[in-house]
Amino acid sequence: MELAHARSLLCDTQVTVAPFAPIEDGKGLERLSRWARRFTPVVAPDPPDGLLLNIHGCAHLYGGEEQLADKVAGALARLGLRARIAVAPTYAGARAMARHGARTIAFIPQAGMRQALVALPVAALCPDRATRETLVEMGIETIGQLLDLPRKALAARFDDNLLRTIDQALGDVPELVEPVTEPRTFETAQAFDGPVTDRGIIESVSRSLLSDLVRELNTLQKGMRAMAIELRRILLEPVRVVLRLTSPSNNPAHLWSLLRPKLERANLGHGVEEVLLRAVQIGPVRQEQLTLWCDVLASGPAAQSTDFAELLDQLVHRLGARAVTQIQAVQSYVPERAFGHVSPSATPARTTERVRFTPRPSCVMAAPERVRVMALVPDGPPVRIQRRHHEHDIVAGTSPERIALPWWSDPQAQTRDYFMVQDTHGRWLWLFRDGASAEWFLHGEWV
Amino acid sequence: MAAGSTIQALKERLNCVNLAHARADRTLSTGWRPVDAALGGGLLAGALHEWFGACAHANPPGRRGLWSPPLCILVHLAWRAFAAHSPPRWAIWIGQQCFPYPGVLVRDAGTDQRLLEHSLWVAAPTADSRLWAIDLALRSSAVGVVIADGSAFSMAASRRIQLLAEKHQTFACLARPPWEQDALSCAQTRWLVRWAPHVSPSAGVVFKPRWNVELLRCKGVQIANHHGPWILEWDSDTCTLDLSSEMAHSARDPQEQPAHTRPNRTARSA
Repeated sequence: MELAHARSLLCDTQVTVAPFAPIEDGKGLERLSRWARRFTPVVAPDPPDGLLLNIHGCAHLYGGEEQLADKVAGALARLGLRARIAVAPTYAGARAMARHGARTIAFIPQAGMRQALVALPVAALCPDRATRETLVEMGIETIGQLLDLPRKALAARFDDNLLRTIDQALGDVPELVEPVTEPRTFETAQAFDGPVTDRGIIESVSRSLLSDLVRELNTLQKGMRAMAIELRRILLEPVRVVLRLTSPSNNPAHLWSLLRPKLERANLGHGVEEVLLRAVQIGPVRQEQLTLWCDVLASGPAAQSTDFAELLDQLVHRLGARAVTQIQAVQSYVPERAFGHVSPSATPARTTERVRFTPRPSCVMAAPERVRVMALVPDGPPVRIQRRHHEHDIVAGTSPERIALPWWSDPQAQTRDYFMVQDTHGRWLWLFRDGASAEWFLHGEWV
Repeated sequence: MAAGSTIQALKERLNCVNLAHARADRTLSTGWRPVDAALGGGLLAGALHEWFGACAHANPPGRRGLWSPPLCILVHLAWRAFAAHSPPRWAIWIGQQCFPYPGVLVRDAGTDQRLLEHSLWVAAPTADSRLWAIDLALRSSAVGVVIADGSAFSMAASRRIQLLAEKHQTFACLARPPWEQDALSCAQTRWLVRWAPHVSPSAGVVFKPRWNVELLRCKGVQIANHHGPWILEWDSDTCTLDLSSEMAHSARDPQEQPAHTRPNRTARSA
C-alpha cells in the first residue's frame, strides 16, 4: 500500500510517519531488553517488537505473577508503550498468546497450555507465510485443528520447524533464547588504607592502574578512545578527569603522557582514599607486525597513522581543540569563507570538496582592512593607497574581478570589485571596492 | 631478557648506521637550478632553514612594525618536501603568522589537493608553545615537513630544532622577521627575501609577483661567489615559484660555475 493511500484511509486520524529503519529498531529493542532486566535477569528480544522474560523465581518478589505483569505493563506505559502481555509455561506459548490472544494480559496455568492454544490461529505458531497459506488452503485455520492432525502427516508434508514450534509451545521440547547481557565495563581501582596526600604515590598508582587496564584491553585487541580517572577524596567531592583521544590507543606511554599533566593539577584536598580508572569508550586498534630491523626512515603506514594520532592528541590536549585544525573547502565565492577550519581526523587522507581554483594571494585577511585610495577617475583603478599612515604609489594593476556576495542569505550583500595592484617596492596587493559604499578595502597580498 | 636487550642494542647500532648513510644522500631540490648548484645539490632534507621576510612598512630605527613571512616560498618548498615522500607524510603549519591562504596549496587548477588534505594547522599563540609544537611535530614519523613562525626564537631554540630535524630527517622551515637577522642561530641555511619590482614590458602589465632571494649562510658549504640574489616569480596559475625568465636565460650551466668545496657533511662547522 502506498503512503498516500494509507493517509487517505486514515484521513480523520492524526498520522505520524517515520522512515522504516530496521537496524535502529533492532537497537532500540535491545535497549528495551536491557531496561527490562530490572524485572528479571533473563530477557531476550523477540523481533520485531517483542520481549521474552523468564520470570521463573522472580514472580514471588513482586507478590505473584499478576502483580509482576501489572508492574511491567505500568512501567512500559510510563515509557509511552502499549503492551500485550502473556504469562505462560513456555516461550512459544507466551509469544503466541501475547500476539494473537484475545486478552491484553493473559495468564496460562502450567497444565493449560494446550487448551489455551487451540483457539488461536495457526499464524500464532507458524511464522513461515508459505506454511500458513498451505494450512489455510487445507482448511486448517486454528491450532486446535493443527494439533488434531497426525504428527507423521505433518512431518511428511511440512519441514521440521512446524513440529518443533508445536513441541516448544506445549513444553515437550525446550526452547533456547539468547538473553541480553550488560556491556562489559573496563575499569580498575586501588583503594588506600587511609587518605593519601602524596602526589607521587597517586601518580604511581594511577600509572600502574593504566598499565593493567591497557593490558586487559590488549587481550581483546582494543584501545581506549576515552578514559576517565576518579580520585575519591575524603570529605570532598571526587575529582574526575576525562580524556578523549582522536583514535583508540593502547600505548600506555602515550596515555600516561596525556594523563599525567591532568593529575599534576588535580586538587587532592585532605587526601585521596581511592583511585578509579575506567575506559569510557573503547575501539579496535590496528595490530601491526613488528619487524626486527626497523628502518626509521620508512615507517609503515600503520605506524605513521598511530604516530599522527598521538601527535594530534598531544597538540589538542595542550593547545585546545580549536587551535589544531585541518582545512576543508566550502562552496562559497567569498574568499574569506571559501575555506573552513575543521577538527582533524586521525585518518591521513580526507575527502574534501574540489577547490574552485582562481588566483588568490598567499595572504588573505580574515577581515578586510579599510584603506584610503586615490584614483584618477571615480570608478577607476587606484593610483595611490594610504594604509596606516603609509602611502603606496601604484605602478601597475590588473582589470577588476567582480565577486557578488550571497544575496540569498544577506539582503545587504553587495558586490566587490577586486584589483591586483603593484606598488613601487614590487609588492602586489589585493584590493576591492565595495559596491554599496564605494569604500576601498585591502583584503590580501602576495608575500 | 639478556638476549632481548642484546638484540635491542644491535638494532639501535644498525639504525645509527642507516641514518648516517641516509643523511649524506638526502637533499631536497628547490626546483631552481642555480640555487641548487650554489647549495651543492639542494637544501638538506633533514635540517632547519630560516627565511627572513620583509617589513610591511619602512620602520624608523629602533621600532618594529608588521612583517610578512615569505609564504609563497614556504608553500613552494612544502610542496617539494611533501612530494619527496611516498607514502605522503603530513605538513604541519605552526603559528598563525605563517598560515598561507589555503587556495595557494592547491595545484593543477584545483585537482591536486594532496598537500591541502595532508596539512595540519596549529595556532600556537606564544613562542614557547610554538617551540613545543615544533619539537613534538619533528619527533613524529608521520610528519614530513614543518613550517613555523620562528619569531623571537633564541639560539638554543634553533639548535634544538636543528638537532631534531637532523635526527628525524624532517624538513623544517622557520619564517622570521627581518630584524632578527643578527640573532644567533644554528640553522643550516638562512635566507633573506625582499620584494622585487617587476620591469613590465611596454605591451602591458604582467601579473607575476617577484622576490629577491639572497642566501645569507649555508653551513658546511664554502660558497665561491654566487649566493644570490636570485629573482623568483610566482605563477598564480600553477601556484609554483620559478626562477625569473631573465635569470633563467642568463644562468650558466651549473657544471661550468666555479667549483666550490663542500666538506664532508658529517664534519660541519658551527
